[in-house]
Amino acid sequence: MGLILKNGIVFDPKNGIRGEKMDLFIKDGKIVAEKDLGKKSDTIDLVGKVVFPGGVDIHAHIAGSKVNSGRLFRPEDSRMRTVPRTNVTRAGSGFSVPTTYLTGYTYSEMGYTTVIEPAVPPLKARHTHEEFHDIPMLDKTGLLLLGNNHQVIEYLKAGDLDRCREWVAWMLLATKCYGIKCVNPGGTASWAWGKNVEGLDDPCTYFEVTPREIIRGLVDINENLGLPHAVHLHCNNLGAPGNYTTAIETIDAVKDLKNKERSVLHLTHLQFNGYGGDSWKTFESKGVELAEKIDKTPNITVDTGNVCFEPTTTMTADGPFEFHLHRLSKQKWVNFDVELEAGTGIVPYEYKKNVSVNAVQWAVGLEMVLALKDLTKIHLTTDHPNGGPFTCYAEMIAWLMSKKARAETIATLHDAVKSRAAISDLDRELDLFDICLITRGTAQTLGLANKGHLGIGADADVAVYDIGVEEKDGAKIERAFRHCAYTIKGGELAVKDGKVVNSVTGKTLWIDTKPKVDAIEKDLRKRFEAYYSVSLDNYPVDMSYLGESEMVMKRCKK
Amino acid sequence: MKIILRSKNKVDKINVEVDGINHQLFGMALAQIKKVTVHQGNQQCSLGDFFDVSIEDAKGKGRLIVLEGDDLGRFKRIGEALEEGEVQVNGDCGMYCGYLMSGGRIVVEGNCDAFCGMDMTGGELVVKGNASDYLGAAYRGESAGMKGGKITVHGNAGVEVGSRLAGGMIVIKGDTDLFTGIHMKKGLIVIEGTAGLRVGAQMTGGTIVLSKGELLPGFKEGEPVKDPDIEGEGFSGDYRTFAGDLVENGKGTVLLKD
Repeated sequence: MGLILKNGIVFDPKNGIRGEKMDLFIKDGKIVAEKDLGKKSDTIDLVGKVVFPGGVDIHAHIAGSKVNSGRLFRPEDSRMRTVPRTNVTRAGSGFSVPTTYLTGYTYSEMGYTTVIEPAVPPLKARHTHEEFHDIPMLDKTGLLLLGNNHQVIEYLKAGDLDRCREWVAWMLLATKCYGIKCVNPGGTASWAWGKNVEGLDDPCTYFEVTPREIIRGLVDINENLGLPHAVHLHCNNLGAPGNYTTAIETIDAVKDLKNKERSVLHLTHLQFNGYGGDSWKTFESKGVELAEKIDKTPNITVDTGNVCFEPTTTMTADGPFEFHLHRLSKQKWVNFDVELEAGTGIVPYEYKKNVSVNAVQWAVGLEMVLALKDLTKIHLTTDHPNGGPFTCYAEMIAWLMSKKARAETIATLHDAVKSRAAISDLDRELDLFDICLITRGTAQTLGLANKGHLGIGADADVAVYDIGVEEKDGAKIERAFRHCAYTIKGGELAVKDGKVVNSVTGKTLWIDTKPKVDAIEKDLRKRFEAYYSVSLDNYPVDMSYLGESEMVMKRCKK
Repeated sequence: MKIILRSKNKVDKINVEVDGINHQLFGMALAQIKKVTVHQGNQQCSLGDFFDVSIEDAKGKGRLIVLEGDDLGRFKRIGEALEEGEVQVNGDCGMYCGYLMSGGRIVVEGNCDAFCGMDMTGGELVVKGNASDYLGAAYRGESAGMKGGKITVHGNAGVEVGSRLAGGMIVIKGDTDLFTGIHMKKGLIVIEGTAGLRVGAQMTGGTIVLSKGELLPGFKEGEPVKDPDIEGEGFSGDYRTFAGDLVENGKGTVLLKD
């Protein structure tokens, strides 16, 4: 049985479609030509409604041990949102760290169909996949934390990029992850000694390797493996006044590294590295300066990491940052050291309108988008749940599309937002094509060829919004993007009128990196026998953990 | 008004969550009380499915709920969020009895299961038998537990009595198991029997009064006291005093009977 989506106003940036009234044809989970539809099909009339490809979230912490710890140590978050079961959905709870099923349902209600978990510690990959398995409605995959992996750092220190590449390839395949994530390179490794690094050329404790060497080494390996996505980097000095210089230096550190098809480095939740000043008193926005830098640099992409004014749960593999936040906010704190590989911290936090720093942070994320000329290079995130839960996307979109909505919010914020940020002077209002670009263009940044567009052969992941093309009313925009008119997932109707009507199963995406195990076998055995608390044979996540899955890329022989 | 809830049969399958048995029953008609929602696993049921309900002295000023019959230990959350009145359990009670209660009184004639009196802010919980683990403790993940009220256990209590205690008073007339008062911040715990190992571990404030027990090395002995008065409660006899837990730079006090 096919499906026809008739008379919708379609936005599809990848295929150059900018609000054209047209029909879409779906069969066997794919977008097809009308002639290939077959005789039997259902039709949904979408007259007056806006049609986007399904949303692709490039960075949201939705699964794994740290998310689960966030749920466990924040019972108050669970009480903030409880959702009873229905005939088609399971019960769930949690505002900023929702339970697995509720995560899937809520994303689907917003028109999102693919989400990337951006921080999988290799040793915790099995847990992450178990949670992926429990998240319905979405295709998902994980990015593997490798920027503080002891073996990676030791290879880089020795200048042995060949074996480091095969180690990375082996790790990615063993954990069934999708790409390389690098968090505070060198900083988290130093945190095992209670230390941090302060800049790109500050050697990390014990290993004596600099963040610059780690970043450049991993980018080189990423390119040599031909991975679909750039190295996904959480910069050093995150959250500190004056840290935009670290972001600029990081961008410059890879300016000589090129890829014709995509960026080589993706700077994630860049808002948190968009601060000027030299103290909390002089803290100011550098969102516009970062936008200018992004526009000038061809080989990078970024996502925003916007903040919204809601109580949330911060969680990151940047252990020293979370300790700092814990001391600053006097909130409870979780800290993990994942043996030989990574670390994690978790601290509850609430961004408040009357706090000067929070008001400026709100402005930074929006300024980066509003001041950027090339919107293919930026993607909308809240670094869920760090800047706020992903449910805030609708509010973010309203602020980006409506100057009036921004002005209304600015009027409620600390005055610092006027004196230490440029947001009040930015008149730009994004249109629906722009919004589609920053929420669906993500697929191209991730190298997901079948997602983020509605061309023939694309996955039939479609979102339909009940919104006028010229709508500028913030409340109406927010309502439309929070509760989809329809979501189609894999060709099946999943959401109607903002409610899940069919619980569909998503796929886990993975890549076959074909590691040359011979090159690293000796090191693998030595490291596991000498240091790991699990045996080498028990470490890899086998395919049975993936459930429904799709191999997106196979390593080419170069 | 006296509401009598007599359990009908042995509870089969899994335990029943009866969080509706609290002050909200006062003022309800008999038919309404029977329809109060309870849960058995993921099944929504009515109070009347598990109890024969009767009302005595409907217009009287007293406010008493009496639970009686078999298998009362299979009913969880009795008296949850109780604000006023008295709940009398003529037998054992299940987990979470008196959870979040802010007023009123609960008397359990038998033993109580784990997590009873957790996160309570007022009122009184009396257990005539033994109490299981996490009595008056914090809900898992909460940084502060019980903030007010009083719990008295006539028998023994399990592990982590008063963990993260932030106010109120817990009296155990018997012994306690491991980690009594762990992470305690404020309030008073009295153990008339023997405290289990690691009592007061990582406490940062409040007072624990012990008859017998072994303290961790993070406690530093100070001047002894005689007939101390703690938060209006008088204790007779000579007591050694200890400050701690110093591993947390804690400013708590432990009084150990000499």
